[in-house]
Amino acid sequence: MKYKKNFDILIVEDNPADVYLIRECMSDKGIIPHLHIVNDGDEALRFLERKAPFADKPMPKLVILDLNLPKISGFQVLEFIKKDNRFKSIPVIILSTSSSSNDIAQSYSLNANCYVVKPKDLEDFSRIVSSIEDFWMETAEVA
Amino acid sequence: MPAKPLKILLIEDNEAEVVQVRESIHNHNPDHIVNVLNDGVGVIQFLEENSRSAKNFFPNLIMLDLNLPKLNGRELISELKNHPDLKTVPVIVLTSSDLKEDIRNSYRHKISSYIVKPAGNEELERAIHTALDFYSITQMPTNNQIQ
Repeated sequence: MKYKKNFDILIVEDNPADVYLIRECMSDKGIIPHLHIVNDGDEALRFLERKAPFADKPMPKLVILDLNLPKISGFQVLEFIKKDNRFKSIPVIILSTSSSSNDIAQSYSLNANCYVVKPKDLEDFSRIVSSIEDFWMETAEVA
Repeated sequence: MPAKPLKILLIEDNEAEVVQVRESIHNHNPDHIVNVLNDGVGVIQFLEENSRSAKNFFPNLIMLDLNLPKLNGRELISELKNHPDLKTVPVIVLTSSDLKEDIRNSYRHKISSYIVKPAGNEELERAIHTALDFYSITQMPTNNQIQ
C-alpha cells in the first residue's frame, strides 16, 4: 500500500484514550507528523481558520470528527465546514460512539461524507482505523 | 469476516467497465446487489419508483462515472443532491478524470468520495475492494426511502 505524502488529517476528539488509540492504530508512522489533534469544537474552527495558536497549520485534507464535544458540538463544526466555501470540499468522517439513527440522519443531512460508529472492541477499532487509512489515504482522491 | 452486503447502483455507460466493476464488487462479496444504469437520464425516476416499495431496489450507495451520455455525471450529482428524498444516499464518483477541478467540484456538490479509476484490472479491483471495505463499516442513512 502506498499512502499519499503530506496527507494532513484534522482529528477533533476530546477523549484522550480515543486519540491515543487512533494514533496507535495508524500503521504508517510517517503519517503521525501529519495528524493534527484538537480537543473541542472551538479549537476545530480556529484550526481551520488558522487563528492562534494554529496560524502556521496546514489546511487538512480530511477531518475526523467526534459529535460530543465541549464548547461547540460536532454538528455545529460539521455545519460550519459544509457551509463555508473555503472548507466545504474537505471530506468529513463522523467517528462517534453514538449509533442513534437520529444522529446518523442529522449528520448526513448536514452533509457529512460518512458516518462510522466507534467500536468498543480494540481489534475492531484498529480495523476501522486501518480501513479509513486504506481508503482515504490510498484509494480516494481528495480536493 | 465477510463484509455486510450492500445494494449498489452503478451508473456507467461503458459496457466493458460495467462488467469489470460488477465482477470486482461480486468478488468482494457475492451477496452485494448491483443494479446498472447506462446513462444519467433515468436515474432520478428509477430511484423514485424503486423507493416506493421496500421490496424494490433502493441503493445504499451510488457509484457513478462523470462522463455519461445525455445527462452527465456532474449534472446528475446536482439533481440527486437537490432531491429531498435522495440527497443523503452516499455517492462515490468512479471516473477516469483526475482533474483537480472535477475532484473539487464533485466534493463541493456533496459527493461522499472520489476514486480515479486505476488503469490495470487488478488495481481497479483493489480500489473497489478498499472502497467497499470502508463503506461496509460506515453507517448508511436509514431514512432515505421515499415514504
